Amino acid sequence: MCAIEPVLQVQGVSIEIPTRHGTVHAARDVDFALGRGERLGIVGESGSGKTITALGIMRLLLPPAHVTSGRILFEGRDVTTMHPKDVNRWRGNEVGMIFQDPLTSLNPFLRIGIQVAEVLEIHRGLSRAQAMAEAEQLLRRVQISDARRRLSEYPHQLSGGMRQRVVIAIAMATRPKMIIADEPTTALDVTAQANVLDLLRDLTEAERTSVVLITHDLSVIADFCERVLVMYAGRIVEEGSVDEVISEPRHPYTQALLNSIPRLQGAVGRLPSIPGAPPDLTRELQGCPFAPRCPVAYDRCRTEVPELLEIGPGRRAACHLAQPIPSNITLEGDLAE
Amino acid sequence: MARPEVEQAILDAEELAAVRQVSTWRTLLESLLHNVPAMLSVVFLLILVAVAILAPYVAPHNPLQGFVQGLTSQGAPVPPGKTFLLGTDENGRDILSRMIYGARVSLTIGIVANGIAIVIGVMVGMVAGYFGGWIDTLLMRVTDVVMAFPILLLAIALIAVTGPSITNIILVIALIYWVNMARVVHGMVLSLKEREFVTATRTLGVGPWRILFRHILPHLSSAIIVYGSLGVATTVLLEASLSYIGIGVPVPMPSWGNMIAEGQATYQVAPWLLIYPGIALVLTVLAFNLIGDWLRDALDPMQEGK
Repeated sequence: MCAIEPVLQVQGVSIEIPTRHGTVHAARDVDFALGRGERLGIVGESGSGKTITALGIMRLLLPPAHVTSGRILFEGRDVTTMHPKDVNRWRGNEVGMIFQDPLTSLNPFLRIGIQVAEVLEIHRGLSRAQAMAEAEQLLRRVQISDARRRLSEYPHQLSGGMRQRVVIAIAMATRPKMIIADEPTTALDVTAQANVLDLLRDLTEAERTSVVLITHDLSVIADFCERVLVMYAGRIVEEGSVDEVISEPRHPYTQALLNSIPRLQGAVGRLPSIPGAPPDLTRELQGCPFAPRCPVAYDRCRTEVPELLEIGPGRRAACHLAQPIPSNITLEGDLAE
Repeated sequence: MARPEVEQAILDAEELAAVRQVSTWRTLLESLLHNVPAMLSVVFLLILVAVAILAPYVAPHNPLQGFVQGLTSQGAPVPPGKTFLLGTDENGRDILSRMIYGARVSLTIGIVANGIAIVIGVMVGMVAGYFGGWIDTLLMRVTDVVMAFPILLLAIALIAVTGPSITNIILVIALIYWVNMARVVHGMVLSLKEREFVTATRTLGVGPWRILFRHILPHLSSAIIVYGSLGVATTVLLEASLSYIGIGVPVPMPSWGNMIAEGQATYQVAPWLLIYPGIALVLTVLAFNLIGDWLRDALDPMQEGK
């Protein structure tokens, strides 16, 4: 199911957010593993639980959101029960995180150099001068021209792509074993997007860093990742290698996501979208949460929650129809109305 | 240890930083030149501070000494004239000299008390806002309780217990006024801690205190400066009020508040006893308020480019 040497094991993690209108089940029984040097993508629409899962792994959930069950093992150590002091040592040292918008994830009041140097000062115990010198090297590594001058600039003086490269430099500063990138390219234009992804791939490949890339954009995953998890309504609904999942999706939701990617060839028309809206996450599951929007749903789907089952080597899917391939049903015709 | 190019990099960075520092000060100065009331206020306060510091050299007379020639043959205060520029009080003391020494007292209390209030308020607001939970509840309820008291009554009660002295007045004022700063800072921290750069900093394993002082505090600086300058005006006024009702600066030490109080008895025959310290008080409070307004506009990044 995963590479031989897992860095991260997420075992049956559920995250709940109690609110006045009921408890939101933001993530349900999320279960996966990440191998050393592996690039794993998590895809899903807004509210599918991908970001909250990442925050849960990083122990960054703000109350009232909390992990209700499951274990998160990082190299065998359980993150969920780690002492706060150890969490701070672990974060930044062994794991890093990259956020969607580099303008908001950099402190607008502090110079670039100070922000890059801070991690080195805290985790490597470098002096300010040493850390600054190393920060300059780091900026060079992420291909920022004129690195020395950039050290004393503020985030608003840099372009979007440059800012995201600074964020990558900060995340990679301590050579972490794992990086979680939450929509790292969403705020960027297409050219900057490609540059940032290439850079992230080169750096993480060189260091054998594992990457979890969270996005709603399957094309980014196709470009960057080796393996992909598809999330819907807080659950993993499909898992497999990127090639297999894209060429042969086994869950109707994955199929629908693939259909809604705009293509360069073929007839120009209205872009297919998935009808309906994601389910209310405060309710207990009655059947498959995708059933109301699913073109191939049948009676069993509305009463019985499909389990996430292995359907092949390294492939899992949570669909009653996934076990025998429903070859007689064409999904595209129904969805592309 | 450090290689030469490393040292050069640091030097360059510092040089650039210095240039940048100058340019922010320059933009601040430029906005001051376009704001006549604020500029006049700054000039006025600079003169006032200079006069207060140099009081022994600029005051024409001893502020505590009653002069024989300071009273008319009937024993009444002397109106403004050559010897006593702003007249004398009923004890024959020089009003101008007493005002100059009074400026010392009023400004010291205003600035020191306000400074302490800012430090307490910022600490309480940051800790309550950032850590949340029961710490937040506890600190902010204490703030509410202090806020709920009528300020003057609370001050009177506290001074009645501690006894009037300059140190006590400063402490009492600080203990009353920190709540305003705490409220403002609390609200700002509540929204700042949700910002992505704070989460991003947390993912780097930066501890909460370092986040508060290095990452969040700079965002509060303009609010602190603005509320600080407005706060001086309020504290100067509160000191005057306390001295006016006789529980402030102990007589015979002059403060604008107790001068106004003393002048009140004779204002129909000798209005100068009351008018000049009153004018000094009004102008000082006005100046601090105008400077506060100017700083609020000048430091607001939204106003940039206007």
